[in-house]
Amino acid sequence: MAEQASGSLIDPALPPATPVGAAGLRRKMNPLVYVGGSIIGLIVLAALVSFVWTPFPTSLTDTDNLATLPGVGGHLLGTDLYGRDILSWLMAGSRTTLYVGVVAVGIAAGVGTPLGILAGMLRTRWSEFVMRVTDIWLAFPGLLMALIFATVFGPSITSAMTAIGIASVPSFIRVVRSGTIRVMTTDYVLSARASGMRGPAIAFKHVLPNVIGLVIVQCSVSYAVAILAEAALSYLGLGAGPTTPSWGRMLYDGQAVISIHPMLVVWPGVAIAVAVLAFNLLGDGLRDRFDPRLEGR
Amino acid sequence: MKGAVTNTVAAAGSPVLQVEGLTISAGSMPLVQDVSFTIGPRERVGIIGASGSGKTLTCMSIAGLLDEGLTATGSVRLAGFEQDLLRAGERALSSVRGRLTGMVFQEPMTALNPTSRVERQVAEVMLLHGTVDGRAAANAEVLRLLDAVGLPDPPRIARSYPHQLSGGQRQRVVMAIALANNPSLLICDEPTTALDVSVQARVLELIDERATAMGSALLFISHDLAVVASVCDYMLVMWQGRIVERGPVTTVLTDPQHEHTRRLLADADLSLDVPAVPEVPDVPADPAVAGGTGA
Repeated sequence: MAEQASGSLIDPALPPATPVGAAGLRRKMNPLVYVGGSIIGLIVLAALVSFVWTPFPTSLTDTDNLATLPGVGGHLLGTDLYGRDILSWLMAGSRTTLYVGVVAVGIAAGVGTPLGILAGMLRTRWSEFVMRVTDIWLAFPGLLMALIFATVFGPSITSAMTAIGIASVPSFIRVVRSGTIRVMTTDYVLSARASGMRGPAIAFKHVLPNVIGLVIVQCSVSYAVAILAEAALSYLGLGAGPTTPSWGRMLYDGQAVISIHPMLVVWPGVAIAVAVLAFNLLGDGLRDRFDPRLEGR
Repeated sequence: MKGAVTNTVAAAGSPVLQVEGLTISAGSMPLVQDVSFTIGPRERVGIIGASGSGKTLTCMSIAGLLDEGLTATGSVRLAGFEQDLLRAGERALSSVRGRLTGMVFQEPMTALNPTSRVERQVAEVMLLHGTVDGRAAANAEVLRLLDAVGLPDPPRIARSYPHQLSGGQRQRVVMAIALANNPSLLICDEPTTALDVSVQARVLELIDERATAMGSALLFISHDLAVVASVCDYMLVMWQGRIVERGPVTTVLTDPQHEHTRRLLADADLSLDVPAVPEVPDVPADPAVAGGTGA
């Protein structure tokens, strides 16, 4: 990229370097995005299919085949201690995984993005106040907040994910605010103001479209965090209940017999790891695409 | 010199812009001191000065776009607007910007939002001030404006994103935005500095032609004597935040009074019959002047 920039200085015949901002939309995609995206696609597909079809009903306890190895009794990945089909549970568990991400990321992005834009646009004491609150908020561990929520509202996936979502808000505020400050110094915002455009219109028409890339990146990163948090909380018995298909819950149920039936932990463990990896790959790939520091000048 | 000198043209009709005793300071440090001038209808006034001479600050305060950290005193009055621009609130100011004044900035590469199409960005300023009825009418007007600023194939340009256009084309789009509402005052802040030489001349011609066609007064800011000479009738020379010389362009260029003007002239090596586009790249900044505010 540096070569290209210096090249255009020397030789005016070269096409101009990619313009700031637009570069994010036109730059070639990092292949990681496709890898991460395909895995996420598979998880979404499994979740959708599980609504209408799973190899066995998730409520079925096949008492003839308890904790069987893969293939026994028609159970492709075997069964767990209660005779439930592992493949069916993995498929149905992906619904929980996607649900927790949507709740947590939805809260974090929905609250964090507007606050970040406000804090970036209003360079006043109010903005300073928001940022100091954000710093304190950021210092408060998300899992601890989830434990408090589980105690107060009773353990459920929704309360756990609300807590994780709230704990992820400050990272959105920070990212969006820094993007907003950058956009506010651009000439097109100055031009918009010179055309008589006012704060709210500038926020929607100029700032939001130009920070949305940062928000998307932050969403995929937070999604991975939320999946891990759900697994951790369900593992502690503070998330999904015993009848809710959840990968974290499957880990929890399998851990008691890990030395006898290690596969009961391996399957959900692999599923969680792959899902987290997929969202991180997607996030990293998209960051390469949207990061202003990587944009051509 | 404050207020004493009135330009001949301004005396003819009621002025479009009247700046009196404009002083801009950052804290206790004055950046622009006691600047007064008027611009009459259809008059073209150029402000020339080195970087940091306060010319950009002057034009930003006229547009009501000064940074929050800066304070401005004096008065800036615009025909068609009741209040003093320096004391008007943000809501009132935003009704003036883009309607009574149009602005063209130095850097065309970044002056357009990269995420939105040209059509939308030009239509915006008309919809904002309600000068057209609805989006369809605005879009039709956009095509007319793009054609008026000399862009080829307006429908294609209208559908383009800024990154698909060259610097010169973008500056023409910016001009279309600035002129969309028939402003009585067009403010150009170094509009050609970032363009390459062959494009500069054409954009200057365009500014000249459109200002004439729309009957707009022009406030033209540049560090380039030749550019100002080719577009303006009257010029102000700024140095260290003050106006050190003023007068019709021909008078100032042929009979410069102030030492700084003479130096600018000597550096530019300019005579009046030089073509609009100079070979001289830049007016070197006086070390005493440089390092002030960004102009």
